[in-house]
Amino acid sequence: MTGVFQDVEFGSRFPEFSSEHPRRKRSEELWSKISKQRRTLRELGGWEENWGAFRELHFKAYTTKAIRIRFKTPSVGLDELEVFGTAERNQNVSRASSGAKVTGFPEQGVDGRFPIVRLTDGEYGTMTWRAQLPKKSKERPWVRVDFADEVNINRLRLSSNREYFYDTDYLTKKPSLPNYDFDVDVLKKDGSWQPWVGTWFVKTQLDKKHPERKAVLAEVQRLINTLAEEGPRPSFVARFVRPKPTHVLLRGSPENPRDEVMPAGPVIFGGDLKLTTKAAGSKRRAEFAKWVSNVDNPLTARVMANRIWHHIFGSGIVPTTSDFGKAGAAPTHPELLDWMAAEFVEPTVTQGKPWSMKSMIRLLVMSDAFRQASTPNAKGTTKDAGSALLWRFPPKRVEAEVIRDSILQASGSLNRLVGGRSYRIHNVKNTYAQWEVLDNHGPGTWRRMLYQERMRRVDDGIFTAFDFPDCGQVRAKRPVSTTPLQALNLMNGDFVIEQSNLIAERAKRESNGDLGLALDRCFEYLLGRTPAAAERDACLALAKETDLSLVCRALINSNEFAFLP
Amino acid sequence: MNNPERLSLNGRRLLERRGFLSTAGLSTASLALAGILDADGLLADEIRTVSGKSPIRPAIDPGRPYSSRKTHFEVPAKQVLVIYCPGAVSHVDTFDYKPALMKLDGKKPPGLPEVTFEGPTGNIAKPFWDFKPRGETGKMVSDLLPNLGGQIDDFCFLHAMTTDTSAHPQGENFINTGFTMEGFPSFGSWVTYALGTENQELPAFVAINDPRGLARSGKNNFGNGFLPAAFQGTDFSAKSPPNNLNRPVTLSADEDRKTVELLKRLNAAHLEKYPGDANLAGRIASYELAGRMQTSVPEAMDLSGETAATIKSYGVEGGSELRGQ
Repeated sequence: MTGVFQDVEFGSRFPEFSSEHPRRKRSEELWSKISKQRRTLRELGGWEENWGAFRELHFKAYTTKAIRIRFKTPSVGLDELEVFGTAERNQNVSRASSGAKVTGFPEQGVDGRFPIVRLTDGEYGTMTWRAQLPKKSKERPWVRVDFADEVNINRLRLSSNREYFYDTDYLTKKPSLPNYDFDVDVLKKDGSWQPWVGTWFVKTQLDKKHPERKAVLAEVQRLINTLAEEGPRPSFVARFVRPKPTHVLLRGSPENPRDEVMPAGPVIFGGDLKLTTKAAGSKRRAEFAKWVSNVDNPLTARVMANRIWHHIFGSGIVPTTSDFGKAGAAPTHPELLDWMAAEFVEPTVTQGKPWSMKSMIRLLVMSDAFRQASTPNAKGTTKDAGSALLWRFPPKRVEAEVIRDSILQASGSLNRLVGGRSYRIHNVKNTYAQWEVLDNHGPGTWRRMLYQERMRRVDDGIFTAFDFPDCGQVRAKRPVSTTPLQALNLMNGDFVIEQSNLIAERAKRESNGDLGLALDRCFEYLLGRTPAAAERDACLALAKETDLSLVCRALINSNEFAFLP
Repeated sequence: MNNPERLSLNGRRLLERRGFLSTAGLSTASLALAGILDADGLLADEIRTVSGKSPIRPAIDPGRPYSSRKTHFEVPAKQVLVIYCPGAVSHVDTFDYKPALMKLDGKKPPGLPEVTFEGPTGNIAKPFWDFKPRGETGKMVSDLLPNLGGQIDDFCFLHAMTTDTSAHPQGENFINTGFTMEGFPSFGSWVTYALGTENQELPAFVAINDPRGLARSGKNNFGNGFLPAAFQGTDFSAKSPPNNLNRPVTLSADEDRKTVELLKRLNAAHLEKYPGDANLAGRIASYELAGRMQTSVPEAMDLSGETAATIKSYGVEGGSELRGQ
């Protein structure tokens, strides 16, 4: 199956947004403003723009076959050098793949491990050209690029590990290109070098000559910074690459490729797609999709129907939802599962569409089985204590997110904002090191837990104990465990104490100081019912003696709050 | 209570198929089927894994995950203490005698490329201390460890461990979970899952971390991976208690106790509607254990009651901040 997806590679990049996307619209707006400012600047000579991990030097256009950059510092580290022509604005004419040739000094970089060819290989990242000459040395690093043809150029871009900033806004140490000072020469037709532009010239000399540039330059920089925040942001998404041959990796090691395999599904399921290594990536994926969704392939519908059942009833007809193979468990009711799978593909009893999860869920929750009460009776318990026949819905502990969100909902402090940036409970770090949870309970965290930024291995200090999975892993089925750590977190955590206070305040506010009414409200917020007489007496006694918030603390910890139904 | 009717349907089906209904002695519905099969050698033989051995699956009552379970083999060990030292003193300078290093001292390692991604390959250095055979076993030990060398017959060494990774966090994952990738249970987690604990006052699996900070792969080193969260290591030390162990500072002991009493009452009334529900009862029990831990954990953390002799025998007297954690 690896072969099917051999043309898909994941990484950070800017996603393609539709023309309607607000970020794309914002970016177009900002770009038109940037272009306007650039037009003003162009009339006043060259200038430099700081784009974070890369800087752009704009200069008066010149038609040449080669360019030379002489650095004034003994140390330089760059992952890419790009030169842009006036004919096609975003075409990098210095790229090796467009026929350009790069030379310079030191050609092999520090220790011979940072060769200069990396400047034009089209790859950003840590594979850099690095020069490190002794400070006293009279020599300085330089780069020469010979273009494939004579070309009219007016802009160059130097960058350093420029994709490192993708998705790392939780690190303070973002990549930035050091302020290298350098001069640029262009090759004249007679073969001699013409000094053309330099950082000192555009940053000091021109500003002196045209003091009015200052405001314009500041505005350009402001627009660039705004674009980085409000325009399209990089995401971890797929991109298409040329598919490579697929090999069996001996013992999983990429260093031990063995037999070549063709793009296909598992043969045991009739997955031969009749494709070879020559098949285009799109063809591979299309054939695979056809095979997966073919009505004659029973497995897809069966697995999906079982998963829906698992989410509705708490356990699948095949309890191992991700393993229908030899290591998985056998279905308790194979005929039922097959009937559901058939119904999923071609609905007969509902008016639903084929393959509609919504119709399937509707079918299940409207069933008699789903609508059974949860309370047990002697007859049922004797026959089927584990409720495998669904004669009742046994109480089930809800997930971490449900507990947390329900508490926020009860206190009226749940921020229902949909989408946008996640909220953060941990520190911003200098670089890769251990995370530290700083605030897992303050107002900034009062959104649905779905929006909590999760870092690998980080225990949030409260809800991770409730079997919240590590988000670095795929998990089809969460275990449900009961531990004293959960009890301690829910009894003593700041989150619960603060929310208990808020719930009690809200209840008092909504009942004009009548403690009895306020107590009813607390029960309604948290348990969706009013208290029974005996409960009311016990709770009122505690509320009168101490505070209503302690009653809320007890209710939040109660089994009734933590369990469905 | 020999009542096969109370077994889960899934379990019953399998048992019927194999005709073992009459012999299975079962008490609660929550017993995992595999545990039952495991208890019966004949049945267990029918389930085969890739390795050809029958799986060992403990019978765990989800309501009481820590209840003590029998070991699968006769074992002399009562407790297991794992001391994990990421970035410890080099093996070739302590217990791992490599005579070839003496021969190759100052030379390039044979068969390695001149330059790897970590830079140019350096020269081999021989151990900084001489090795001598020690104890009755004659185990080679370096002169760096004269005292441990005297105890060497009581040690057991395994000088055959290698990994596929040279990166620290992945290497840590590997030694503590068996996999370089994340998401797998640690040693202690597996042991707790299999055996539970005989001590119902303290967490079954405790991780005492270096006070200077967690190792590179952090909680993975004592995490539960894909096992239920009940089997994760609880990290605390003499200086740092577990999360949320103490009652909130804003509450008095009396207020705290009264909340707990109200909670018990609410839960008891709720349980009446679901007589015999193991999950509900288990959660009530977990609150009771939590309450006991509020006393027992500080006791375990408090070293002031230990005798001078005990403290000396552990080598934790005075000196380093890192001692006696």
